Amino acid sequence: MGLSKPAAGPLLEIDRLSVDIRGEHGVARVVDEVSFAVGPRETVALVGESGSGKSVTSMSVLGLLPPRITRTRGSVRFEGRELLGLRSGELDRVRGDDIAMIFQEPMTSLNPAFTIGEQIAEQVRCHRGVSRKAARDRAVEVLDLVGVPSAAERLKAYPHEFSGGMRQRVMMAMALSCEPKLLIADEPTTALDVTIQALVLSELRALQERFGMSVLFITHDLGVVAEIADRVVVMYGGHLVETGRTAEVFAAPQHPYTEALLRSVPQGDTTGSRLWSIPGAIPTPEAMPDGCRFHPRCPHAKPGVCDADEPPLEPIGDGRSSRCVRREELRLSGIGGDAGGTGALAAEPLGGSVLPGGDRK
Amino acid sequence: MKPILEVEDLTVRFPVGRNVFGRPRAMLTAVDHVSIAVPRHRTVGLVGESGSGKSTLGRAVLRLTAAESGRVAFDGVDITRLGGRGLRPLRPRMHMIFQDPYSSLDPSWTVEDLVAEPLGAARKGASRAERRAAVVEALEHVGLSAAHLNRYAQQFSGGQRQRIAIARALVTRPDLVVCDEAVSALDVSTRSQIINLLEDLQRDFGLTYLFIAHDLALVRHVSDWIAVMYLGSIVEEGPAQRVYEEPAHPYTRSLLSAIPRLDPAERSRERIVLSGELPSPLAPPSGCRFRTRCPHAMEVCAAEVPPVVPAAGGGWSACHLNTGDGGAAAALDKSGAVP
Repeated sequence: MGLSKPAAGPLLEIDRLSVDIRGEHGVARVVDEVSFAVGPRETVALVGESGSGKSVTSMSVLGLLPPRITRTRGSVRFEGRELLGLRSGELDRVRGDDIAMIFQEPMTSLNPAFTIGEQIAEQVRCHRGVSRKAARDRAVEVLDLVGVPSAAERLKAYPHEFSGGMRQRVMMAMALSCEPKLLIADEPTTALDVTIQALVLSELRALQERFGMSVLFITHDLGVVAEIADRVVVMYGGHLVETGRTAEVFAAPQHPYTEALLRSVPQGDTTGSRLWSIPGAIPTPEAMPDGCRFHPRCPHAKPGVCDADEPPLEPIGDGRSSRCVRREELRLSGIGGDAGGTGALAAEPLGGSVLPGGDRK
Repeated sequence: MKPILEVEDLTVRFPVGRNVFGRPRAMLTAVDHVSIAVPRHRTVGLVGESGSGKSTLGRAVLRLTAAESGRVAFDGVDITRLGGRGLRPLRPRMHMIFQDPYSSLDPSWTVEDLVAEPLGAARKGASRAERRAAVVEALEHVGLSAAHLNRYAQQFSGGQRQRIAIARALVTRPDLVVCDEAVSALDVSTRSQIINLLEDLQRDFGLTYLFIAHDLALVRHVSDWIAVMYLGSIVEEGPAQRVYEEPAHPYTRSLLSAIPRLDPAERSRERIVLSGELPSPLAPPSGCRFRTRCPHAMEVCAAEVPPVVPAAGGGWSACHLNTGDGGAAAALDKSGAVP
């Protein structure tokens, strides 16, 4: 994907990004040639289960991976400027100024020894170079913005004095204090109750409309994706398996893994029926299957086809792409699809060579 | 048939902070006069936000946490005041599965040790071979096998570890299993495998589940009956279908409205957004506890505790909105008559 017109081009462009991590068992490729883009004012959800490589992808954008044990290749461009290989001083200016990040557990990202006010104000002063007074005013303003009640008084509070939902809003306030063009949110609502999650998501939507910011949202929760994302990028085994606009991908997935993820979420009254499940477990980088990486767990896998060559991620029109060679012969069902569709077989009790529920023997 | 578990007017309080004399500064009421019944071979779901007291209730019914007042009856036996010796014969019949299979299984134990541990109390004098046979049988029921006996928990994935935890719960052939967020830490694809397994085991062994979770869609799937907790009290209960289709309490309605929908077209739907967060259980609001966040709060809500009102379609709710003519007076059988 090239930048034809820089002005209308994507804000963030990730191009054939690969990340190798050195561990106990040698070097493992945890992110493999990942390419996607986030446009201005767009929300893109990066979806996958644990071990899919989604968090490593997002962390490499901001150079947050430990350089001693990781090797990153490919390209990450922000407004056309290459971020990979930037010196840490230059990267610091991009982080916080143009790109901000929030994480799942806000308690580990906030310093327990400083008040909320001090932490937000320091962020503002670092990046804006304004006076203490102006930085403090800005802190009140952003806390107000994310719905922290009586913001001026709460400035003097320490992180432990806030509940989980409030802390996540404080993190959002900090991230937004410098009006970033891109917010990277890694499972920001996973640890929250549904009621608080709904609040945080609606705040996020409102802020996005107000500032015209782009969001890269990393999550495993497809319900959250449906609530917030314009486009969705599905990762499995370290690489992309499907991309497209959320509504279209959810209505008619073009990859069996996407279908399986969608159908694993119980919708409406499913009492008495078995939940759709995916046999086995996600592969580790050390033991990546030959051929399609999903084929050992795929209800549609065909011997001699799916276990032979690794399928490429192919554009299939309308801004969508899929990495399934059988996609044209399969009629995969999305949300609202008939429950006993093509893959109904896989909903049967599992047995045989694959252990139901975990690793393969 | 009598319910396997009957909880009556149960209250659990914890001391919070201690002064220099070692006296608690305050008492936190985690479970406040809760009554609930769990019928045999059924699943009762317990939902609510964190801090609602649902986990404390789950621990209290297994006597893992002491109750201050009220009564817990297991299979007709009042276990509230039983001592260690009295509890011992009952322990193998009730079990708990926890959320985090990474911290609930000791990494230095083999699978055999882990699964055999509950047998220690149950079958004194059983031979090594008998114990091993029981362990292997339990492993096979959860999709593992004798080949896994000498492995360590850390060699397994999250889903597999939860299977080991289930085998541990199963080995003593319990009647009641309390599942406390048992699948919450698992990935989407593994989660449904474990749910299907739990349902199979229930059918095969006649298990009864108290299923505590914050994922309302999952709770609906597994439960026959659902109780909704808020700040230490049950505010509504009823048949799963009724509670989801026709929630009677505003809190239940707002919880259901907050569940993300899988259909992006529903993004613009009207949501009931709750203001504020759960109040401190150290100083719960007067009258109805939910009133500080309730979109329908009236004057009466601060003054009076809402009475229990039966709901059309089964169960009840405790809300002043539902106290129409005659409704409030209705005497209720709250003993959880699951159809």
